[in-house]
Amino acid sequence: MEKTRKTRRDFLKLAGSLCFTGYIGLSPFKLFGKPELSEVEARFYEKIPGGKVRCLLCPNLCVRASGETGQCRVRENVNGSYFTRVYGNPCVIAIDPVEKCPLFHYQLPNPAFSIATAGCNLFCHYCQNWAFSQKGPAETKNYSLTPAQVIDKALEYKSGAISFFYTEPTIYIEYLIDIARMAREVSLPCIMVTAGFINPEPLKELLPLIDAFTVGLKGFNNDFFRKHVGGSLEPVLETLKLIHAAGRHLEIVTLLVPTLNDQAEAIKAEIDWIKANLGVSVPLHFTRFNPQYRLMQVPPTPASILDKARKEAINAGLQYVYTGNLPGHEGNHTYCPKCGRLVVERLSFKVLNNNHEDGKCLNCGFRLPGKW
Amino acid sequence: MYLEDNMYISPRSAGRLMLLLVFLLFCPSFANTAQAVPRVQGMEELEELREEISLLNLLRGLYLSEDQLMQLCEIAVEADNAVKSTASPILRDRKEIVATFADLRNRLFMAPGQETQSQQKAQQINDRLKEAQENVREHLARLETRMASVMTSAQLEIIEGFVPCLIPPRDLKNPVRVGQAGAAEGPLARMTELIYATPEDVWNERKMILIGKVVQKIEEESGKLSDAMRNDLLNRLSATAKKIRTTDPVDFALKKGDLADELLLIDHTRRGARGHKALGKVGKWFLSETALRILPRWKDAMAAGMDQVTEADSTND
Repeated sequence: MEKTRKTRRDFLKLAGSLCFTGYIGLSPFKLFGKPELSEVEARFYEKIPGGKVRCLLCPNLCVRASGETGQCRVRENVNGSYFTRVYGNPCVIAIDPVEKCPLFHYQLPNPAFSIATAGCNLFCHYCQNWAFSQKGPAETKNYSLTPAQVIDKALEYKSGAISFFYTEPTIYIEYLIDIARMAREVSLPCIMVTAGFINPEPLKELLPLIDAFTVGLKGFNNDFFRKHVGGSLEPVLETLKLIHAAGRHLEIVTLLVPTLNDQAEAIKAEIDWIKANLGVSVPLHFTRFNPQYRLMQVPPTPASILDKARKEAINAGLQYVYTGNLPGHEGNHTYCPKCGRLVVERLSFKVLNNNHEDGKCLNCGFRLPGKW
Repeated sequence: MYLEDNMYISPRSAGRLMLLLVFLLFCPSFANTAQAVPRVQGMEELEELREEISLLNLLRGLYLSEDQLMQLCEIAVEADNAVKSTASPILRDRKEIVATFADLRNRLFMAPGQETQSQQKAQQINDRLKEAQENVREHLARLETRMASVMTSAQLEIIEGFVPCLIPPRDLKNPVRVGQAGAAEGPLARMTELIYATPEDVWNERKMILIGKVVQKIEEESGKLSDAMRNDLLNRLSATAKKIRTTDPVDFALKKGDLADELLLIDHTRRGARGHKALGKVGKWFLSETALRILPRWKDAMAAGMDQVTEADSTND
């Protein structure tokens, strides 16, 4: 029988070797190899003295020494260079309707090929995908899919688009850009569901490649952002303005968490800001919170709160306001802002009836913004 | 309520009698009322409560507007009136009806040939009951159409998919949410995952135990299978399991739902034929006596702000 038991001497030898190789500048990854994690050099960072790097991808602006990963858990300093550990390694792949993003004004003939990697640059205490958004790639089960393979699979499954979804796509921007470029070549639209916590420079590079954005505007209250989300509001508002100015399709989603970000004044401030900066035709979704992750003690959002927020936004002049995570609710549907008729009837993420022709209301001919 | 000069029936008993007659009206004609399973007497109240709980679970998932609720209440009252107006002449002749049928029963204990007259009389009454039943059904079908027009297609789809329950199914209580990775996963999806992820040596050793459990569950739900049917099912499930296990990881992630459906080995798209005048689910839920009791209370509760949740949901997903 083969002897597998390690002695204390063996253990000390191994530990010593590790310390030695670390000291002379070899990372354990280089030594043993980690075939499941990518070693593609990251973009949007700068080298700073002392072998450190400063990440310029998101407003966190992480400064990391060798061997350390960013707050996102997926970008790592290896000997003074920054590497992405998730290039080609999504941990979620699925075929999902775009209504789940939610994108209600961007109808596609088929659901989207959706992917996500581990990690996130925020730490939302109510994250429903925390099992991989709050983990590094070494802690999740990952697939191996090059950008070309993603496109092949999307085409094989007759997907209507590629959707970067579930976790924050910003953190795997290198992978995203390569996929999006290839998707352009085969005329597959790309969708990005993001919290918008990204710096302007990388965002500007994404704008020509992404056809539709869903931005999670987590709340209109910096205190809530700091305590429960991990970022700050201002950069997200800048992102929204940039996307809008670039003329890309944009929808906004705000998950209302009872007592934390559902104060009437915060909702009003958000509505007023959208109206003043993005206009009245940007679709806005108020979605229902369900106890998750670190907010298990908070009750689900009462339907009446969502209803009230929706009505307030409509009264303020916003034309397309929805309630989400309440299947069957009247706020699931699209109504014509001119004649008030029901134009798109939905049940959750399923379109039941389309009473329009290429976005024109069948009753009054009013043209609804979006892709139909 | 007085049926005869010397016979007083309390309002409560009259209500029960009315219920009984309404039940008779809704039942198929006497020709086919034989119950395969004896009913447990004295548990009617529990059945009523079950039905009320189910309806409330459904209402919680429908998000009816105030206006919709008002209209539904009106139609439910109209349905009740229609049933009552049809039932009242039958209720008036109740003694005669019961006596005629009792007479026929008694004559069937006698020598053959003595029952002919009673049979004819009972048949006439039975025809009258059937006619009343048809009339009520037609009326209720019209009311059901009106009721359906009050609701949105989305609400109708929820009603269509709803099954009576004490605890609402996960997708009604807690639907797959915006941005959530992975769809609502039921036992079939978990079984599919298990079949896929089980290591080869364990699978080879235990596959028949696992598949046997699926068959056992099917037998619990649908009754005992013959040996031939069970073997056939085991073979078909083994073939499906083999297909699941040989799927590429990426493809498995993309079509896990379809593979789980294949485990069912039935065609989802096939639906049972429907009787021409049979009530649909909208009618069954909302034109019932239960709806008549529950809808006004639900309307009042909604107006009083009952959805202001004070406790955290224990759902942990």
